[in-house]
Amino acid sequence: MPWHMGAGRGCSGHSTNLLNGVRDKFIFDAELPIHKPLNVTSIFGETWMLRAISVFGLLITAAGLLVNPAYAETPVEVLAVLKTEASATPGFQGFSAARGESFFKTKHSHDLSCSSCHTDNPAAQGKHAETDKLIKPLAPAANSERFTDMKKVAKWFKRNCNDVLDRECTPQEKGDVLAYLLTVPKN
Amino acid sequence: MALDFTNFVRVFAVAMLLMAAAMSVAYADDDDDDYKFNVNNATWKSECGACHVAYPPGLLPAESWRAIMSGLARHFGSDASLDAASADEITAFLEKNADTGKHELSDKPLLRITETRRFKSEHSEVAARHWKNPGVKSRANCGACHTTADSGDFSEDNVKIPR
Repeated sequence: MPWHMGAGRGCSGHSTNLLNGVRDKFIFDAELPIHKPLNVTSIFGETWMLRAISVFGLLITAAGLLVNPAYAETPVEVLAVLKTEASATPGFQGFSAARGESFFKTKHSHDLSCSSCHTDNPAAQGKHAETDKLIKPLAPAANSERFTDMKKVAKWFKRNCNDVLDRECTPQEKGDVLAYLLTVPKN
Repeated sequence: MALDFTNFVRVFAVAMLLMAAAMSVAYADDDDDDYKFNVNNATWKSECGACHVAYPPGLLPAESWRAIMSGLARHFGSDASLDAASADEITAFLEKNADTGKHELSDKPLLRITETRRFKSEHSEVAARHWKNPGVKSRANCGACHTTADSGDFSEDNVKIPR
């Protein structure tokens, strides 16, 4: 049976009466000898359409992965994890971007602040205070790689807080800083 | 005509021989092979290279690397602590490719590449003013002059001292 004759039944799952009307018109035109449509099934076999769909789907998925590298987490998810940790502290009332900004720019121990290396503009490139090695922007708006890997976030908070404050930061402090960084626009 | 061609072949052959001789002299004089470190490990590169140039393992003996890797929480004044799996992988890589030459006899392993005899002798001709240049900042800042330090190439040809 040519595919177009079954169109009214086989593909009608999502169709409306209006669409059926259009299709009927199309079928009518197609029945004219000069417009006889190609019978795909008879040429490529029954599974042709299925194969085409799966190949197409794979291509779309591959393209999607190439364009948008699959990060383990998003910065908002990281913030949610920090919030869960912070909630364990009695009196927790949420994160504050303003408090985070002040914490980020205030000098703590050793005359160091977060901005000593990351600069006062976290959307800009920073420089390691000791080695001069360039540091990519910290604000997620300016660098999509930031705060997308919980393990990495934990590693750097631990190291940098120890260097700048001589202690680890509290979940409240980390969350405030991330809340601030999420408000920093791309340069 | 035939004679001219034979002459040309002779001249060409002599030129080739001279060139080969000149090249082998140049190679004999060029010990830059010692200054190219081609070993690589992704974890070493990304972790050690996060804050400074990933110093090639061949610049320190294995005992120095072991001492450095066991004290990462206080790494030259910074917390550079790592998860155990990464630290183990990097330590193994450093040990495997460490400097095996003769080194200084001392009770404690040297932790700074800049204090090795090799570093000092290689840099003996570098004037003091270069070290004080803000663009150099520190003797540990290889990349300030060794433009290809990031790829492990410390050959003299690629040295450019900032003015």
